[in-house]
Amino acid sequence: MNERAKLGILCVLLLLAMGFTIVKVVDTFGAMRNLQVQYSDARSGDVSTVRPWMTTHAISLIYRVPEDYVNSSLDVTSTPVHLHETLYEIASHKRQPVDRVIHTVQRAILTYRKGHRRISMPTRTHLSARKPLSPGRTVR
Amino acid sequence: MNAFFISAVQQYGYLALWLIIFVAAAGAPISGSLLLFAAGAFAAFGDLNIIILFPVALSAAVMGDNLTYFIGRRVGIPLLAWFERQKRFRWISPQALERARIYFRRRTSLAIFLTRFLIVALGGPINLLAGLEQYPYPNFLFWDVSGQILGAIISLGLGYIFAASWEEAAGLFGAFSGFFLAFLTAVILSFVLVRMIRQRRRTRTAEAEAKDILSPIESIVKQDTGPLPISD
Repeated sequence: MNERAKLGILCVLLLLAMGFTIVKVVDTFGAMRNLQVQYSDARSGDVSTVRPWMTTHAISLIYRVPEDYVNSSLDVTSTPVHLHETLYEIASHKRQPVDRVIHTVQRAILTYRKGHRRISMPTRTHLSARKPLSPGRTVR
Repeated sequence: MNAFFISAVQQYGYLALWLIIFVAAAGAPISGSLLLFAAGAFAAFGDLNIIILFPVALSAAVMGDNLTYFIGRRVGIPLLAWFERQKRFRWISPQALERARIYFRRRTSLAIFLTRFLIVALGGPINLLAGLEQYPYPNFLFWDVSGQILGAIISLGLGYIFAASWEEAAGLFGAFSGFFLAFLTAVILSFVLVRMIRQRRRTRTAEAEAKDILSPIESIVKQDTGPLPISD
């Protein structure tokens, strides 16, 4: 391969690498913003942040709902075997889509909050929608 | 796939985590780093203990890395010899291969260290190459453990801190490591390009200088090369 061809290939590769770097910078900023939004939503107890990896124990801690209440809303017994079951696993045991299980949990949390007004948690206005309220990524 | 592994960690605890991290470090296409973020988050919810998680994650990752290193050491040399014999790979000249090996040998420690926590996807191939190149084992172990300590602290720590948002934290870390890899590639290519241009310029200058020196001599030679005198 002659010198000029090598130089040309190198220039093309450099341009590609630079383009890829720019794309990754944009990605990084997007991920940063995503984290910021999700973190503040989760801290404020927004039910749209319920994820398939969460156990009923984690849900009770994040959204300040009694664990037994979450378990009963999902028809899960509070035995040590079920203690570490994620929503993903609960859904697969029930042979239901995980989104439906998430939706059940979201409704249960909101119902609990309605009955216990002292726990002031911000909620979104579109909660009555049939679709699960986790528009973000889901662990699959 | 990740949801399955995350559920396994929740169900079977440290043993499942150790096995998955070990397999991931040994080169399987599983994101061990993502699992450590999840484990950190589970520790924040009280399901696992962060103090126990750290040695579990570290030992699994180091053992997995060692396995690939020794596979590279055992299988690598015959594999390389086979590769050099194959006709279909003749487009990679032995000189180019040798140059690449020298380049890798000079930067093995840095490559091992960086691929433990920042460019994790290249960890498996780097372990194999390090073994193949007979990189000294004590050095490999040192850089491997150093990098894995940092990797475990970053992943478990961020998972623990962000807890409910560990997925987004892992996403940010992944995006950043992608950016780092792209930036590093661009920097290396720039250096190579600049060096090549300089070398080309130097060669041209040398050629011009040589021409300047040689042209008067050539003209003298041309003047002198008339018909040879015939002696009677």
